[in-house]
Amino acid sequence: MIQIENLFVKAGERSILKDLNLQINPGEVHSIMGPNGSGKSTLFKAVIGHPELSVSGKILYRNSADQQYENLLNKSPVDRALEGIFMAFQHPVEVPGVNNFNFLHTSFNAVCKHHGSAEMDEKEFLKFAESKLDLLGLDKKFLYHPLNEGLSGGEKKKNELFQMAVLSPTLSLLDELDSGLDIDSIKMLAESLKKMKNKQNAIVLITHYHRLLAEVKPDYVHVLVDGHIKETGDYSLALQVDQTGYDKWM
Amino acid sequence: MDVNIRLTENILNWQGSQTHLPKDEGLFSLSSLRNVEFPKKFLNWVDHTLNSQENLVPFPVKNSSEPSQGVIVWVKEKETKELQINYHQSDHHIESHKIRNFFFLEKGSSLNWMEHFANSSFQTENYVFVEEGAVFNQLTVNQSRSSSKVYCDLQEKSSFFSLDINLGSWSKCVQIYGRKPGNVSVVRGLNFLKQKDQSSWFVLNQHDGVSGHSRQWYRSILSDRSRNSIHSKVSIQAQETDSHQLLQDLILSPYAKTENKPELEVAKDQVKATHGATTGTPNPMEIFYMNTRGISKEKALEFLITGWAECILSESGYDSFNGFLKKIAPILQPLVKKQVQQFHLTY
Ligand SMILES: Nc1ncnc2c1ncn2[C@@H]1O[C@H](COP(=O)(O)OP(=O)(O)OP(=O)(O)O)[C@@H](O)[C@H]1O
Ligand SMILES: [Mg+2]
Repeated sequence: MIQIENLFVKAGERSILKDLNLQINPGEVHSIMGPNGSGKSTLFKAVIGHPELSVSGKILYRNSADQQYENLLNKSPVDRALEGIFMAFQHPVEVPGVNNFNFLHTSFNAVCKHHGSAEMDEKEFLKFAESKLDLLGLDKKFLYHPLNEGLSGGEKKKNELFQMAVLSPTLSLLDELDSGLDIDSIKMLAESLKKMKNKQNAIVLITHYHRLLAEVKPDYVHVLVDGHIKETGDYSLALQVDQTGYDKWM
Repeated sequence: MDVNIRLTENILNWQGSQTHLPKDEGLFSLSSLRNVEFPKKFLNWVDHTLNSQENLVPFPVKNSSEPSQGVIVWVKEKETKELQINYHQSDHHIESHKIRNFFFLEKGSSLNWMEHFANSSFQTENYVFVEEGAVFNQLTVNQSRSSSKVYCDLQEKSSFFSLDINLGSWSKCVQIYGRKPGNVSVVRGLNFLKQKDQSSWFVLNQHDGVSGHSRQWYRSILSDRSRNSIHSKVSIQAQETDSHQLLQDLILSPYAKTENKPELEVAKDQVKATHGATTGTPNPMEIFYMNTRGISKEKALEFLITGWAECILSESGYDSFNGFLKKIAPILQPLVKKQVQQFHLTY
C-alpha cells in the first residue's frame, strides 16, 4: 500500500528524518515507538503533506491493488486525503465557529465524489454519522460542536476517531490517539480499531504505551530513534520497550 | 442583490418618498409628534435630547433641513411589540432620505425592532427611551450606503440589545446612556466588507447609573480594498460597572485597511472593565487541518470565514431574530464565496 524509500525530512534547517525506509501492506497494523522528539509525528506529517516540511525521497502509495503506485510528493494534501490517507493528529487544531457536522459532511461527500460514488444529502448523512457515533459509543454532542473548539484533550482524540470512522480511510496514521484517553476510552478505542480493521486497509499507531498495543496486537513494531528506524520486530518488541526503555538504541 | 425579508405582519415600507404605516395602535408618523397626546415625560425627553450637547452629529448632513419623515413607536406598559422596517427606494433619488424615528418604551415593555436598508441611500436617526425594566432589541441589516444613528437612554434595569450586520457601506453611530442603576446594553456588529466598501462605526457607551452591564463585540471581515474603522468608547462614571469590549478583524487582502480604536475611560473605582482589539488573517494550520480531510483550500476558507461570522450571529441571543438571521444566511454565502476568490493562500 505504501512504500517509503530513502526519506529525508527537514523543518527549516533542521534534519529530522534521515534516510527512512518503511513498507506497509493492506491488512497490516504497524506500531511506531520512540523517545520524544525522535521524529514519529514528523513521519506522519510528511506522508500527509504538511506545508512546513521539506521532504525528499519517495513515498509511493496506492489506494487499492488494481492501481499503479504514485509518488505522494507530487500530490497536494487534499488529494492525498481523497485517496484515503488519514492522520489523527497528536494535537488536533481548533477551528472556531466551524460546525463539526457541516465539516464532516463536506469532507465525506468530497471523498465520495472523488471515487465516483453517490454523495449523501444532509438527512442521509446525519443517520450515517449517528450510526458511527453509536458504534463508537460516543455522545451525540460531538456532531454539532464547533470543530475541536473547547474540547478536552481526550475529547479531541475521540473526535479524530469519529472522523476516521466516518471517512473509512485506506491508510490510517494515528498519532498518540490513546494519549489523554481514560482507561475505558482506551478499551473503546481498541475495540473500534479492531472493528474498522480489514484486509484492504492498514493502520499505523504511534503510541508511548503498551496498553493499546496489548489489545490491538500490531503485526509489526518499529523503534524510531533520532530519525532512523533502528529496529523492527513483532509485538514482543513493544513489550521489550515497555520494560527496558530506549537506552539500547540511543 | 434583492432580498425581501418578511418576518412580521407589521412591516413598514419606505418606497420612494412614501411612508406606509400599517394599522397598529401605538404607531404614529413623525408629523404627529406635536398633535398626538404622548405622555409629557416623553415629549420633554424629546426636546431635551434633540437639544442636548450629548446628541452627536457624527456624519455630515448634506442639507441642513430637519428630517420630516419617520415613525413614533409607543409601547405601553408591559406590552410587547415587534416591528420591521424596510428602507427601500424604487426610484433613483440622488438625494438621500432623512428619517427620524422615536421609540417610547414604557415600564416593563419590550420592542423588537428590525430595520433593513435594502438599497439606495438613507440617513436615519433612532431615538430610544427605555423605561424601568423595559427591553429594546434592535437588528439592523445594511445592504446599501447608509448612515444611521441610535441614541438610547436607559432607565433603571432596562436593556438595550443590538445586532448590526453591514453588507455594504455605512457610517453608524451608537450612543447609549445608562442613566440609572442596573442598566444593561449588549451591542454586537458584523461587517462584511468587499471591493471599495467603507464602514465606519462610532460607539459610545456611558455608564452613569451604578451596577451597569455593557458588552460590545464587533467582528469585521475585509477583502479587496475595503476600509474599516471602529471607534468604540466606554465611559464609566458609576461604581460596580461591568463592561467588556472587543473589536476583531479578519483581513483577507493586503490592500484592505482597518483602524480600530477601543477606548476606556474610568472615572470611578470598583469597576470591572476590559477592552481589546485583534487583527488577523486566516490561520493556515486551520485550513491545512481541513485539507487533510479532503476539503479544498477554497471550501476550507469559506468555512473559516462563515464560522467566524456566525459566532456573532449565534451568540446574538434573541430568539425572535433567529428567523430573520436564517434568511440572512443565503445572502452571506455568495459574499463569502466572492471574498474567498480574492484570497490567495500562500502555503
Ligand atoms: N516545524 C518544525 N520546525 C522545527 N523543528 C521541528 C518542527 N517540527 C518538529 N520539529 C522538531 O523535530 C523533532 C521531532 O519532532 P516530532 O514531533 O516528530 O517528534 P515525536 O517523535 O513525535 O515526539 P513526541 O513523542 O514528543 O510526540 C523535534 O525535536 C521537534 O522539535
Ligand atoms: Mg509526536
